Amino acid sequence: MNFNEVQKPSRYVGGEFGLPDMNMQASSTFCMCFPDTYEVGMSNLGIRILYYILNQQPQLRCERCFAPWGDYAQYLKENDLPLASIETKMPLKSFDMLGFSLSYELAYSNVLYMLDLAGIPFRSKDRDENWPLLIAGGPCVVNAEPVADFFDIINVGEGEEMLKNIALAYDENKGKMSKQEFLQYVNDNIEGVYVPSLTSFEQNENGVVTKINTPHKTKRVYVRNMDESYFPDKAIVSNIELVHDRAVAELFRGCANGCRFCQAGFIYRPVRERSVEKMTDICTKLIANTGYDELSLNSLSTGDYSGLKQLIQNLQPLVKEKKVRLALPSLRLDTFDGEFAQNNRLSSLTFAPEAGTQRLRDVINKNVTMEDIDSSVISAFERGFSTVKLYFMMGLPTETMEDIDGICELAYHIKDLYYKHRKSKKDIKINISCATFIPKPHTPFQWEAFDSYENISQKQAYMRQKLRNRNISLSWHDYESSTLEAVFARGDRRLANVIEQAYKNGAKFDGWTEHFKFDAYMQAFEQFGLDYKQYLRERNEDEILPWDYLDMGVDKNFLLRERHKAYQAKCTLSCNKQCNACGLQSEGLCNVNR
Amino acid sequence: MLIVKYTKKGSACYVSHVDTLRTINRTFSRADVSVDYSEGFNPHMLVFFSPPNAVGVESECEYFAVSTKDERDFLNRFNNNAPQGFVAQKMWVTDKNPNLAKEITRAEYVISGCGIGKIKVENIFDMPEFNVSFSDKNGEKTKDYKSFVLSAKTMGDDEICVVLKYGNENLRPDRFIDGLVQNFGLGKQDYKITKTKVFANDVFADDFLDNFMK
Ligand code: SF4
Repeated sequence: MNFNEVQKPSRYVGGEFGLPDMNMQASSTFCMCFPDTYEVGMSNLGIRILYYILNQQPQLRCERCFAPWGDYAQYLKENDLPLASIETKMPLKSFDMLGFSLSYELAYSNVLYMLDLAGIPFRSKDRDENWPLLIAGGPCVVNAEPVADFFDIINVGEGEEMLKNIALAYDENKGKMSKQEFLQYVNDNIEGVYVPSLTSFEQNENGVVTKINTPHKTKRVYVRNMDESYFPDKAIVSNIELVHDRAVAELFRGCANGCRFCQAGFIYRPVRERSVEKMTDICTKLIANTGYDELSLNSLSTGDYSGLKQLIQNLQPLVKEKKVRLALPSLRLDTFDGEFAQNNRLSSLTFAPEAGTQRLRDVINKNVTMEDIDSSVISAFERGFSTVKLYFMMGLPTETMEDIDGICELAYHIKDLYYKHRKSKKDIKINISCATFIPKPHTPFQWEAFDSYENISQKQAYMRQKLRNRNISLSWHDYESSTLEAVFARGDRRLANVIEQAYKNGAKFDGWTEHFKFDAYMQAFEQFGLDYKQYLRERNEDEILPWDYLDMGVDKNFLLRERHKAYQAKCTLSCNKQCNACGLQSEGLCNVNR
Repeated sequence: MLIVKYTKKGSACYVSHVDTLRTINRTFSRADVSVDYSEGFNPHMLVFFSPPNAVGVESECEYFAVSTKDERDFLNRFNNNAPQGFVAQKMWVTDKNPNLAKEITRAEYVISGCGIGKIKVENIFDMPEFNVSFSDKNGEKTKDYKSFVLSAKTMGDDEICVVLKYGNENLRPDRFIDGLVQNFGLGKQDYKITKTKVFANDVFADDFLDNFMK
């Protein structure tokens, strides 16, 4: 096979604008690995930040590697080449450290795919000092047990300081400590570090954890002062189009809303904002240094940023003179403001009511009312919008057919509103997209069951029947891939065997519909005599959960209180209005009255 | 209007034409070159390119014309802000648009690879036809490309130099090599292809632009 026959070779050759100097002498090398394609990985903000932080350390050289597409993997195999970094083409196995970003559970098999192509043994126990140290970070590490056996170190929390400290400690102790000594050292000395090999689990025949043997709880680390924490005012500007091909500036971390199904709302608490001045400075420099014509103001709930109006005003010179488009992802329904939309020439409106009735929205604490929906939709229609995208979840705790009915009624209601208030001559298009609710660790719903195939199919059939209308289209998230995500999200160590076997059965790029092979996993479960349904069941409130060795700062009792309030359909106010005593009060980072 | 000649080497040779347009636009933004924009709902920078280069072919002779009066220290500003491999070499200032995409019709390529000089590529002109089979999105095809080969000479055991039609009527150099594999029994391997010159009919593009200025 000829390299010229490989699709999009730019994924592998580097040479982008914005690369740090790779010729510097560094005593230790680090490769940032992302278990998905270049276009997905390069869009990841965490990677953008950590890459520059590590490269700022004179002792370190940090490079990148992404999961190669099948054609390039074949090219590597045919030419007997090991998977290598983009920047200096150094084989991964020659690096001192490899850092894997675990952003979604369905990328787990790709970690093995990359290690396999690199010729590196999968299990931590099979790698001595002569192999690179494998470090994992990213959102999935709040329960990384399914892949824990593959990694030497897992970073829990925000990586800025932690990863730098681990890498520098490695550099300092290289050649002086055995791997085991080093792991013990970072475990004892660096906050947020979890060393899987130092922790073991006792489980009964049903897989319920009966005891966790661990030297100490791992405490999540996070940045306390966002203005003082490093944020790159530059970026590697790719030569090919990325999934999110734009400049990204981060307004704040955490989210005040406390939607009970949303993991991010709990694992990134509390809200920590960057100042408007700092943001203005970052945005202006980012655009000047990257040349992007789109700037995304990121956060979990951008409309909640206290300085949003001021910031948008400060950024007008970029919009007017440099023709920069502003993107405001994650705007909540109740903060939708026509001004933003107009400035940005949007034509379709995206809302996520998540549930079809007020009762169920109260259960999940999505504080959105019918009035909010009406006023936002009407204001959008009066501005000429004619397409509405609505996101819902099915299989939520306490859900009944009435709630499914509510989704259909909401769709018809929005349609009626359109014909009363429209400015556009076009017919309305309503796209409804339904995901299956996945219970995630560290949320009030971490004990809930994942809904069965039978129930979900019945609900889908009901909706299909009710929403036979040429203006309304329906789509669902694939049930099997949601099932796998649900298994991994609350999984345990026994899954390492399954993932390894599934990879051998051909699983990779599980997040890509065209590659997803559920059978590869089903066979693997069978081979190891494990029942995947065990992982989907409701958990007892007094049960030890596989991620209980983590101290996230949010009390388990608070999560239980929230769960019980959910069953009474009682809302909890946003942290912007009132402190709900989640356990982080003593940190002194939330300025609300208590 | 500024006309710029630039090279696309190393990693840059894998950047497709569409991606090149975006990359050059971003380079202007970073270099803070004030470029004129088109009118209309979706304004875009007024930049015009010579015909698309095949992906994977290194080039010493790409051109673009950009609508701007901001010529001060242009080459340095461009080069300091471009990705690796994109290097501006030379520029012309004019008030007319030379329509590079239409005028440029031929390209010279140097192709190297073990043994390629031994096949006597000159013999192409003695053949009644130069048929090349290839597949595209419409399936398998065979086409006679003899009239697309304008000159061909051997430069040594491992190198040849050819001039092929380029632009609206185009023979991609990788397809030309496929033709050599099919008609001359050339071995399949990763040949290195460099586009060394382009022409407006038979006038070297740099000379064409010098004349255009007059
Ligand atoms: S301490 Fe209070 S205000 Fe802060 S995140 Fe927790 S509940 Fe919200």
